[in-house]
Amino acid sequence: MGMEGVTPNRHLLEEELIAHYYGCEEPGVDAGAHLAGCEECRAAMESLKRELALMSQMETPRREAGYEDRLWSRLTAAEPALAGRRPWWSRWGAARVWVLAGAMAALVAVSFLAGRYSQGVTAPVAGVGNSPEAQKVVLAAALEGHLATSERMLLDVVNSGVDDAGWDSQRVRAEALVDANRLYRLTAARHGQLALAAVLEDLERVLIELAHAPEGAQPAGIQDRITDQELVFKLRILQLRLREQPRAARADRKG
Amino acid sequence: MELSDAQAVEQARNGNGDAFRVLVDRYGRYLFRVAYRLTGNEQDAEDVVQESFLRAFRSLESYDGRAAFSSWLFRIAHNYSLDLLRVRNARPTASLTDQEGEARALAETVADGRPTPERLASSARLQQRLREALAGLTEQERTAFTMRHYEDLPIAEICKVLETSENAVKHAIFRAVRKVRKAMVEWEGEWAWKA
Repeated sequence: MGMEGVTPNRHLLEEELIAHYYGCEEPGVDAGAHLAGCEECRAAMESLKRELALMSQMETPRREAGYEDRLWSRLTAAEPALAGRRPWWSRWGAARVWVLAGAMAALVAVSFLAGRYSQGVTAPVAGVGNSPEAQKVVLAAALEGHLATSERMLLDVVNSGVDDAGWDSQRVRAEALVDANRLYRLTAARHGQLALAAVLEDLERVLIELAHAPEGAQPAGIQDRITDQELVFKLRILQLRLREQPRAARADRKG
Repeated sequence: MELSDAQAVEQARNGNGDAFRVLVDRYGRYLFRVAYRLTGNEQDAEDVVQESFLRAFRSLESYDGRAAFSSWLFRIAHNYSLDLLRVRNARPTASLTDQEGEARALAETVADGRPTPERLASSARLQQRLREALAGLTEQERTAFTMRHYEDLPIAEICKVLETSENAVKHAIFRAVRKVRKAMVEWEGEWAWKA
C-alpha cells in the first residue's frame, strides 16, 4: 500500500485516498503533500468525502427515555446475580422515584380531600402560602397530575395500532405508574373515597396488564376494555372535580 | 465520584451489581447503535445488546484489561452478531420489486436535478439504501467499517476487537468503502434511468 517514505509522484490510489481520509496512511506516505499539488487527486478526494458523508447520514432507531432501566430489568431477569446489591432508589430508576414522590404527596392530598368531603367543613383561609387550604390545592394538583399522566397513556394505548412498535414504551410507562396508583387507591379507600378508589382500581388493572405484557406485544383486548369501562372519561371527570376544589372552597367561604 | 470502567469492572467482579449497572448505563445505547449497524435489524440489535451484556458479566473474570472495556464489549457483540446472522442466515436483501420502487421514489425525490447528498439524505428511501449498502459487506468488513467510520475507533482498537492484524483491518475498511461507493454509483444509475 503506497510508496515507502516519499510523496507519490503519481496519482493516488483509491486505497491511499481512503487511508488518508481515515488517518491510517502507511508510514512515510505523504498523501497530503501530493493532494496539495494535484487537482485531479483533490477532486477524487472530495468525491470520496461526499460519499462517505452520505454514509454518515445512516440513522439508527432512537431508544426511548428510560431505555437503560428497561434494559437493566431484562438483564436482571435473565441473570439474577446482577440484582440484589443495588440501593432501592437506584433499582427504581429516576422516573419511578419521582412518580412515587408524587404519590406520597398525593397521599396527603387525598387525606385532606377525604376530610373535607366527610366533614363537609371548609376551614377559613387566613392567607396563602403555607395555609392548609393552599397545601390542599398544591397536593390535589399532584393527584390530578397522576390522573392526567394516566389518561394520556391510556389515550396512546387506545390509539396505537396492533403492530405499533411503541408497545414497549407503553409497558415502561405503565410500570412507572402502577405503584403510585396503588398508593392512591389504598389511601382513597381508607378515607372512604369509594368512587375514587373504584376508578383507581379499574385503572390499576389496566396498568398491571400493560406492565406485564410480553415485550413488543399488545395485550389482547386491552383497547376494548379501556373503551368499554369508559376509563379515559372517568379519569377526565376526576381531574375536573379536583380542579374545581379551589373554586368550590372559595364559593363556600363567600357564601 | 463517577466510577471508571476499570473500577466498575473490578467491583462487578466482586459481585457488585450496581457497578455493572454503571457500565450498562454507559454503553447500552452505544452498543445498540453498533448492534443495529451490524445486524441491520432493530429486534436483532436488542437481542445483541442484552446477550452481550450477559456474556460480558458472566465472563468478567476473563477480561484482562488490555483492551478498553468498550472494545471488549464490542468484540462480544460482534461475535454474537455473527452467530445470530449465521443461524438466521438472513442478511437483508431487497427484492427486485423493492429496488424498482425505491429507484422510482428516489427519482421522484430528486426529479428537478441531480441528487445532492443533502437532498438524498432527506429521503426515507435513502435510509433503506444505506442499510442495504452495509448489509452488502462481509461481517468483518461491516464491523471494521462501523467501528472506524461511525464510532471513530482507532485501527489498533479495531484490531483487538477483530483479533486480527492492522493490515487486515485496513484492507477490510478499504474493501468496505469500495463496495459502498459502488453501491452509490448504482443508485445514481437507477436515478438516471428513471428520471
